[in-house]
Amino acid sequence: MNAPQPFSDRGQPPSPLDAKIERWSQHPFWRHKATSSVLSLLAVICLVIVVSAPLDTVAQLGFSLVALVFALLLRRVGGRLATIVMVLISVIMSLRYMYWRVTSTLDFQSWLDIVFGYGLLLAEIYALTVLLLGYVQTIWPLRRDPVPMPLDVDTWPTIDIMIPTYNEPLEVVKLSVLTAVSMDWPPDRIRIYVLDDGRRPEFQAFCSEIGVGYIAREGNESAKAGNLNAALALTDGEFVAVFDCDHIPTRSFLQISMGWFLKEPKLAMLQTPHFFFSPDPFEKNLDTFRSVPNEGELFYGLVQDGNDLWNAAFFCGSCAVLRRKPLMEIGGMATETVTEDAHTALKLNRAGYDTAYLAVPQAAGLATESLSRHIGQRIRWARGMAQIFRLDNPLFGKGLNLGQRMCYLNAMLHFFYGLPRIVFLTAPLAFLFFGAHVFQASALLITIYAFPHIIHANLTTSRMQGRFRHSFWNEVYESVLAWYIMRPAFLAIINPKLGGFNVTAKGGMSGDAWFDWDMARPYLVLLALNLMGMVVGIGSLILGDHDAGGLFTLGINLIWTIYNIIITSASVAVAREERQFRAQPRVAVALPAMLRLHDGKTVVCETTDYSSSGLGIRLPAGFTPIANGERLHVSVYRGTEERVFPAKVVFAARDVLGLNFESLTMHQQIELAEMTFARADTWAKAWGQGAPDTPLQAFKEVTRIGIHGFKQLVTLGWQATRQRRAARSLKTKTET
Amino acid sequence: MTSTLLSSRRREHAALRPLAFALSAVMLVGALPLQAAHAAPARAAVAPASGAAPAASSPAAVVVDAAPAIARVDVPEGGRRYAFTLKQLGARTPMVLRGIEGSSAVPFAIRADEVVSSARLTLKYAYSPALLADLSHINVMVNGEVAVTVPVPKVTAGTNQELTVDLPPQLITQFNTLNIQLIGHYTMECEDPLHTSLWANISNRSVLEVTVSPLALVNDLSILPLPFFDRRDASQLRLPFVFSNAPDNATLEAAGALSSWFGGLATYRGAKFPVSTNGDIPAKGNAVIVATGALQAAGVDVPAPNGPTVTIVPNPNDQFGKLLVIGGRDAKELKQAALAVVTGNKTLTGQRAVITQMAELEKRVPYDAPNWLRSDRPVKLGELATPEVLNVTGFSPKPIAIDMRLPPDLFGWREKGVPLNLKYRYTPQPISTNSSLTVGLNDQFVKSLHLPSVARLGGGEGLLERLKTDNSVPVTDQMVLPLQIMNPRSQLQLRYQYDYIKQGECRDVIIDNVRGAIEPDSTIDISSFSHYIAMPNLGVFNDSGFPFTKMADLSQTAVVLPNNAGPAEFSAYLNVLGRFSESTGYPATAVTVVRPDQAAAQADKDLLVIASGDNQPLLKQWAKQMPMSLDGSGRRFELTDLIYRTWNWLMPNPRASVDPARSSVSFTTDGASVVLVGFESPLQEGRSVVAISSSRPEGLDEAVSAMIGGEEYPQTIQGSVAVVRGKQVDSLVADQTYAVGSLGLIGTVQWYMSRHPWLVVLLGILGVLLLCVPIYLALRARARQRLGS
Repeated sequence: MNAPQPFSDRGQPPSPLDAKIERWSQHPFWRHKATSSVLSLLAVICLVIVVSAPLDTVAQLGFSLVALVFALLLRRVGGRLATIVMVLISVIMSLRYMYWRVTSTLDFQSWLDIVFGYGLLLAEIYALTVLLLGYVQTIWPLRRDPVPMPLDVDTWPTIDIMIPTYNEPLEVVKLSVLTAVSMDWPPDRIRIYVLDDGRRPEFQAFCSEIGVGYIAREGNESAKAGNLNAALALTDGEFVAVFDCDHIPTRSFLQISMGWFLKEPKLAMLQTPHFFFSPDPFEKNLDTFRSVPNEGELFYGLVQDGNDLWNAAFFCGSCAVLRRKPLMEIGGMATETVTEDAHTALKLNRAGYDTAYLAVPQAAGLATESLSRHIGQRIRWARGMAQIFRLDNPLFGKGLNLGQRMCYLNAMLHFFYGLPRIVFLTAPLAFLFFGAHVFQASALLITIYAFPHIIHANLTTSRMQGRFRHSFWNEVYESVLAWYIMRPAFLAIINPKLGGFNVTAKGGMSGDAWFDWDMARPYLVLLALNLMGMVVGIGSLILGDHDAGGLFTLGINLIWTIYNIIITSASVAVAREERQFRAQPRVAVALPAMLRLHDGKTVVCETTDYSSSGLGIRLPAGFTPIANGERLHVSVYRGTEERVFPAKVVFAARDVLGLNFESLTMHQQIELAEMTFARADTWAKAWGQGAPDTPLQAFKEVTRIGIHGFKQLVTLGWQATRQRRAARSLKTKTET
Repeated sequence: MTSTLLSSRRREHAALRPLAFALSAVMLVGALPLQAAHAAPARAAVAPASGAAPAASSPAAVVVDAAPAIARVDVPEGGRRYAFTLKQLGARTPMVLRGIEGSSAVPFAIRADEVVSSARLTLKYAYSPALLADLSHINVMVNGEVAVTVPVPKVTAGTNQELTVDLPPQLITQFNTLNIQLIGHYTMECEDPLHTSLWANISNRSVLEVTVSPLALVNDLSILPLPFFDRRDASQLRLPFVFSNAPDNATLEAAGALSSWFGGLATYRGAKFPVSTNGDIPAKGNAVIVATGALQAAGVDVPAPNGPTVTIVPNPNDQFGKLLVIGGRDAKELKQAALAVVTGNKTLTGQRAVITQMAELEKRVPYDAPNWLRSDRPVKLGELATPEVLNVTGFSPKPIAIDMRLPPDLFGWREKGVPLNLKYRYTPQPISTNSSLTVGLNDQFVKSLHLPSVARLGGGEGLLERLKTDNSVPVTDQMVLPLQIMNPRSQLQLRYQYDYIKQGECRDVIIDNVRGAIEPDSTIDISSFSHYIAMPNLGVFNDSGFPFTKMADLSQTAVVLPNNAGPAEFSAYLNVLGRFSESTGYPATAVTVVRPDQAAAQADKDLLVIASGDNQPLLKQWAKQMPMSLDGSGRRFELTDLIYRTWNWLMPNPRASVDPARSSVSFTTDGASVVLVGFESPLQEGRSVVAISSSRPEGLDEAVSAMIGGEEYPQTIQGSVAVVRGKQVDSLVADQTYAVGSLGLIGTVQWYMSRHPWLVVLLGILGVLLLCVPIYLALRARARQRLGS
């Protein structure tokens, strides 16, 4: 990428607008150093005036309409410049709103109004801060490409691959080790270690059988970070690659990710995305797997790429490579907080090292299988981030540039959304229940100031995040977690030691669908409150005596309440756990395969899915059915390579077969991993393929899920009551 | 313009304060909503009641003119007779006396240099036929003592009665209360003390006639401002100024300080200062003489002064009149003597005082006029009203009225209003449902505060605890007085109204134990407002002397008098300064007087230009800058029309209506009219000129009369040009072409932007366009650096 060439993303041609600005920026006018500063200063003065200009109702309406027209036109234009302009418009509208909000709507008269009013204001200020930091963070996702490795293999460095485990079953860890073993790297420069904090003999046996290192230590101090640090002391590779034991790397992982380290000597850490081949609880329970971007996609698809521009991409604990020297310089993995990964990256950045993010999925794993586990994990993140915020605040201290501070700050602030989210979910109730006027302004004025702020923020966010998070889904994801992360995050601010919080994992392999009443309790309360608010509001609408202004106020609050009902209903829907029916993770991929039957016949076919224990096969049409229980050999191909595995038919239908492998040797297991999970291209194909966002469509989808959740709740509630009544009557009978 | 304080004129409020003070001093128990007398009700052209025919004699005519409110005739033996109707004394409506002990009162006062020889009340009244004649009666009381008791016989019940009674003159002192009380009973047993049949009606056309004899006061400076100004006298102050020859500028400045002092004292009464420039001492009454050197005239002998001197001597033409002689060896000493009178009169004693040492006057700061509400800090209501005013008694007492003068240029745009932190106490009723304290401003309702009863307060310990010091409950309430209804002269009205719940037959005993009080440390705060006002605005000039009075001592004012100025111009000058001080309450100690050729040197001041006929060259010179031209007899105006438009449908903020439609109005005036014109000073930006111009010298007095105003002036002086013809005032509104005051940088930008929304849009587009390219380039550079390309 040479300087005069237009900036482009991943080989795509720049948008016409960007191309134009690239040509235009060649003009000597822009060469002057002062040009940009002077123009920016002028512009900032203009915009400060615009933000603070008090306009009356009609003028503000006109101003908003002009802004809206510009934004809607820009939406149709691609490219980075148009994004920047949309961000600027959104920032102006939001700051105008906040300026007006702070200067003109806070004239509270009663204590009720003061409490609710300032509460809402603080929540709004938080949301605005996160919005603005988010714009800074993601305005220019870097989107780096992999750097090819030099042809001379002798120059390649030595790498220790570390797979920490604590209590995961061997079946899970096995797969990661098998794929790690098949990684493409000179064998004399790669060492694989299983770091077993569980000190389990069967792990040791497995490791020695397959020929990888096994490290166990005394005690479990500092959990995963301590485990890694203990291993770092015993090893000496130039680089360290870390994989959680349930993350399965592809064989190309090192070749893809190591290039940047050789190119940039100051690079200390390179993170790759966490890719999940199983649905997370949202995807599973709402049935949106691969159709709606999941919760993690925003982070790995956009935020980390945005962070990378500011040199603030951070370590996520797995699927990353670290350079040993800087890591040892900062004292190994950070152990002060429960999110050692992000904190380690922060320390590396503070020490003046670079971090990078490469958005090529080179490993995949299992998503958290139940809502309670998912929540437990997020609580840990929230608590850890709050701990870093408290102990090693990125705003202060040495070594960071402004962009890094902003990115880290946003990463931490993000986890304080719990309370503000609940405030937004209950704010209209203050008016509907108590008649509190949380705004001291007419509803009309609020509308013409607040709506532009919300609309532009949504339009701009939708443009920037569309491929990685759909509109309104953010609300659903946050609402589900809000209640749970609120307390740990705030407690950790007060005292980093506080806020430890355990969610009892339930379910796991649950045969039936069931409803997690315990987890759903907070949103059930929120939903009930909002429903009551709606009833009160509609009652007031019918029975009350309102003037036009009062009706408008009531209407706005009712609409807000109904929106909240939709969001909370969708949250409730997440708590209905769909059933899980497979012990081994199964990946749905079509691979070329061939069956060799015992009578010598061969059938060319393809897989429907695979796991470490078996394959799903789609047979060519019109093929004679194969009997259940029949033994056969199945060949799986990668390019021209062929590997043959013995298997048994466990399920047979007309054109679909289910195969289980039979007594594979260790070598065969490695070969199977090479043919399946370790394939370089498996995950990259499915990466970033989500449908782009259209806000209206997304709203419909969320509404549909909300309604669905609500219906489910009514049915389940009815069933539960009936069961309880039946149980009680039974009890009464036995007593009599 | 509406964004600043409306400057409509409200004379009654100004008038109320002194009377209210007089009333409270004697603790009235009247249930009548007392509204003070207008300072100048219908000019009394009353025919003489008896004997003398003063219409022919000029002194009498002077007296009638000077006392417009009250019929006043000279009677033989040097006495005078005043006839006040009760309406003139303050009973705006007929007195309605209700209940078993209804009463109502009016105040009246007698000048210090007069003693009452006889007094007579002609009572016009009617009473209820239900009254029991043997028990009921009407008491006429003077200062609490019964002067006469009027019986209420059945035969004349329900008809209008007229009765003339003599009041014992020995009961009448300087400040008096005339109290009419109904003792009424309709049954002998189980009386309802508030029964509706218990009524008597006293017409406010009832007349109080007081005959007085003049009293020669001692020649002593310590009684100043007596006898030149007597606050007991509610009529307009008329005090001639005498110069021995045409005064120079410094002498005029000295005279101006004096006239403004008297004008400030006269307050609502208004003051006029006729001028004589030939040393003629008036034939009757008091006068001020400002002259250098010795004063040797018929009967007056004031030796040549050897320094700034103040002397009080009898008027040789009138044994009861006094002359205040301001003397000095030169004009500078005259000024020192005048300043000694206006600032240090309490220290002057004896007949003659030579000022040897003068304390340096403290430097004034803008908006520090004593009468104006301070804008540098919150003001306690205790500073604005006496404790007597702030305390009331009774179930439905008269409103507590607190007069406030606000700086006229408070900029109320985007301000919520004036915060009022009201602390009040009241007697909680045992049970009541509707007791309230109503807060009003300029007769408009602001807020009603509920006064909960003992039962509502919860009774018991908590309440007792709170009642430790007093039997009233302290409450604090914050409110905002809407700026739209605030005027430069405003009155805060706080009215306690207690609910009286009847106990039932034979159980009603009214114990008049309810009290209400506004705590003196309640505050009102205008310190958050900017001072900014679009000009020209003769309304604020007329109301408050703005912009000249911004500095209360007029140190930023230069008065430009014509070169050939005569008594009429001098008088106009003194009168206008008197008006200014009426607003500020501070004498014009630092005013500058110049002639047209010296005006250029005073560029950095606001100019008050007085002209008559063709004698003011400046106005011809500045014709182009003025909103009208004064060229000979045909005067041309180029103005927008008077219609005042506020497009207020969706705009919560009132704002200046700058009406683009201009129309040329040709305005031909007859010779008798006076024109007041306001415009920006051609000498310096941001400075103002107000020109008072008459085609003939006598016309100037009409302008002053119109400024003092009164009931006979239906319109007030407003806008940029005002034409006064007799009692007719026509104001015309031109574009407001400039503004005085400052909003600060941010305020100025915001104010400008709010009036130019399209500019906001354009600035927004410009800002985004300017900013997006540098951001793009900076981010691209950053990305390239990160990618190492």
